[in-house]
Amino acid sequence: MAVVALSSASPHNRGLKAALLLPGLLGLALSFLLPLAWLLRISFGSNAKATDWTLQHYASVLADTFYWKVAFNTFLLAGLVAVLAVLLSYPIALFLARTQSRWRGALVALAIAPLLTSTVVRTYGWMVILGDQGLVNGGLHWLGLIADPLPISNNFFAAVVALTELLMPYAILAMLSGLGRLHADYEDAAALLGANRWRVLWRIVLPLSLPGIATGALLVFVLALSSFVTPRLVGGGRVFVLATEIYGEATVTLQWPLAATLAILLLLLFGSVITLYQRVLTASERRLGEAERRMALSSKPLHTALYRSFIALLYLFLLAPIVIVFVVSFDTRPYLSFPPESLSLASYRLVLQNEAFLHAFRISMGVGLAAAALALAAGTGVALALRRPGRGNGLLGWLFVSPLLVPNIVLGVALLLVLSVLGLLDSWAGLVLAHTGITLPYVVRTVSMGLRAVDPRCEEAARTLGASPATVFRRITLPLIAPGVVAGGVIAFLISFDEAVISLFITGTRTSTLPVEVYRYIEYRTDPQVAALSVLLILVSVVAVVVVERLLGLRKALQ
Amino acid sequence: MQEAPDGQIDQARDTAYVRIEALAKRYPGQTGAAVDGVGFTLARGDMLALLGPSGCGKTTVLRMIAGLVPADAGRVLLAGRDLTAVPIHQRNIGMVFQSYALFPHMTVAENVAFGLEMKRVDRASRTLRVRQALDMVRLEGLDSRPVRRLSGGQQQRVALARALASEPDVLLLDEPLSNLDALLREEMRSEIRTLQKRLGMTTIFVTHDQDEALSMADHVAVMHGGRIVQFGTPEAVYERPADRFVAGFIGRANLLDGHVLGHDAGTHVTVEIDGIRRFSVPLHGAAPAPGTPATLVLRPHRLKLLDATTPAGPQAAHGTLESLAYRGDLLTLGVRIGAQLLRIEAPAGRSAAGTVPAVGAAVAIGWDTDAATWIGI
Repeated sequence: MAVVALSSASPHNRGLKAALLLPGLLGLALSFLLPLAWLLRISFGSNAKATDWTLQHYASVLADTFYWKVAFNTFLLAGLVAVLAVLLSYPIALFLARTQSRWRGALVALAIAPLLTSTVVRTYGWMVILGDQGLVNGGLHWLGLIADPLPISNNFFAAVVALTELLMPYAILAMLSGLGRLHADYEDAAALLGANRWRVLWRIVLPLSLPGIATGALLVFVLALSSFVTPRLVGGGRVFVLATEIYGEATVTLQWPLAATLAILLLLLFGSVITLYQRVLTASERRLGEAERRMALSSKPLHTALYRSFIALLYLFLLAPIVIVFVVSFDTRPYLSFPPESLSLASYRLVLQNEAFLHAFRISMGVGLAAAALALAAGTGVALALRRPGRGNGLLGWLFVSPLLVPNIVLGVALLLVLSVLGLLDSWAGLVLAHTGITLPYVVRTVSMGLRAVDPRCEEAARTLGASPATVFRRITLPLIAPGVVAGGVIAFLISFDEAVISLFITGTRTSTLPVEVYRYIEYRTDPQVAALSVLLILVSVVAVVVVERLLGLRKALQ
Repeated sequence: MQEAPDGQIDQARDTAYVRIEALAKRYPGQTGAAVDGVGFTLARGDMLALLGPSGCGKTTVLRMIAGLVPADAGRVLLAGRDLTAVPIHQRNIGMVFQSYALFPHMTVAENVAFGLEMKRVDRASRTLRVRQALDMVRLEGLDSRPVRRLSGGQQQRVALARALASEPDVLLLDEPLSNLDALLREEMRSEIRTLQKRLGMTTIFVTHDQDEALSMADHVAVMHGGRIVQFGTPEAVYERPADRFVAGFIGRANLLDGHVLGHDAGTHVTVEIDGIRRFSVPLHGAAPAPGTPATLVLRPHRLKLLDATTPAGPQAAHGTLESLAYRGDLLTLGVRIGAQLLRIEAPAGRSAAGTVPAVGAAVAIGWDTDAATWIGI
């Protein structure tokens, strides 16, 4: 009996679906589910071998006022950052949603491209800007306005500023998609009813963009809640948040059960904020109803010069760390200071002679390529399987994006614990496994998105024209999803290439990746060599961004 | 419903070239069957319209014939070959999709050549046949154009050429004209009809547009609730609708309820409609007993407005003009006679000008002896 249709649930098809899912499920289990389960187990043990059960860590954490202070600090940081990022991002999003400029595409890309540059690099940029001899203090001193440096580095303030900038692109993205729903007719209607521009903004635009603002705020809040690299580096070891505590317990004091407990608590906080938010959002969506879902581009430009200068300033803030890194990289002095005295390529020469950096670069490239290839192979299979009708698709789809809902700092501890048991710490295999796990969700999503754009009627048409299912896949489906597959691969490579937190936990000297090497370097030094290296890292990102933009549209790929 | 005559196989192959037997389909999670025992036969070279409102199961029938939807029960036979268990790609069926489903990553010529390629036609004759197919739908010279850069009408022609190029045994069209604007639709209607007749291509198409069905098809299968409620020539389904649904769905109709009074000489039956009067209608089939409830179909254009002084009689009645709408080529009038509201369509224009009474006026309406059709209940 032959297979009659693509969609029929014959045993043959079910077997195929299982085969397509298997590599992805295996990868997910090894790199995500197992580590999380083990993390939970260890948090209930008195030692890292899980030989007994105890609640002592939870009890001691909850009884210790220090941790309550740290938790308060974490929430304060995340809250401040969320408020600031939303305030600064909303004007940009509003501007991008309604500008008619032919540079619109480029401006959108510019606003969200920082997402694709390494957190470590941008954090380094902020260290240069805020440092005692950095852009701000150096500039003010040079102008003769101050004698001693302002206290704007190595403290809470610095962490707030840097994190705000780092997370703004997420807020812009979220708000942009919210604003896309705003129908220009609403504004026209309000204006015809006698509302002036500010009243239109206050009474119509702002209320209707509240869901987008809420999404942006939540995204920034949860990302700030679990951020590690920025508070740690810009805070100069003087900003204590849950993430830095987890890292300290896991890698310095080596109290793994305690680190596991803190990670689980952070995960719980993370989860409850998201759940709470989902409740609120669904309620407000229900209230706003369907009318707002119509996609339309608002076309009311706000044309004042003042407004444009304001937007330009916000862009400057957004791109400041990247620009500054670029400038400093040409400095000649062996220590960080601003402004540069003279320009040269000396730093680049030093970087290219630095054996540690070159080694790390090779590791990063190798791991990135291997992880991207594995994630692509497994993720494409998953996306294809999920497209076939079946009962478990909802659950499976959720399962494969769930790693995106777990902060990297938590995954980092979890992987540290599991890989140490498996004897894979500081090994290629361990690193590739971890990176495949974090990139798999992105590949599944990107390829699924590509598949959604494929008209199933086209595949049916090919069948009626005499093509077998295999031929249909080769001649119709595959060519149509190729851009999505390539974009998924590039994004996977880039995520792996820029990843610092998880790698910090699981690599030692043998397999430290480039971002890890940079992190460890700038923990103690901030000389221009790192700036030159950062520029090289940014260039890798730029190439990838251009490729993705060409293939898919950057905004679509990141959403 | 037509049945294939028992007799010689060759003859059966032509008169019952397509033979659909008791197809049934129930989609999981849906109450009721989407298709519930659909069967018909179609002679070679004929064109059949599957006509019905959305959700009546017509597209599912078409997709079961193509093999795109597996049938729960029933058989599909084509030229004596049982296709029921044959995979889609071995059925040799041409299909034009509602959205055309042109392959977006291929040019016009590559799209048209795809079916030939699958049949392993060699390159030289492939090129020739692609050219012929494109000429046939009057798309010469667009071979290397990407399909994204075609107008709706052009896409529809490419889809047709692609389906026909590999010389299928039967052509299936799923709402082929619904994505075109009104003018182009008229043009494509006659073009598809001409092409179909010239090629002698056995064709089944799905539509919800009764105009399309009546003007293009040799036979119309009216579907409702997953079943074929009437199968016949366009004239038969319009003039002698099988039931209330068909009468209401195809064309505009006044449906008048009454009861049978008696019959004359076995050829006509007399029906009394409450409040209006008696109609004498041609009888099909067995004569009903007096007193049986009956419904009459009166097409609005078969009614006419008479001079108000015309006496009521066997072919005229008095009423009040309740509504009046000017529609360019037609005047639509609503005339109330007792409890019945009758819709009348009269040609508008100079000759009618000045004779139209005002709303609220007393009017008389008349009809020809054969204007009414009896549809039982």
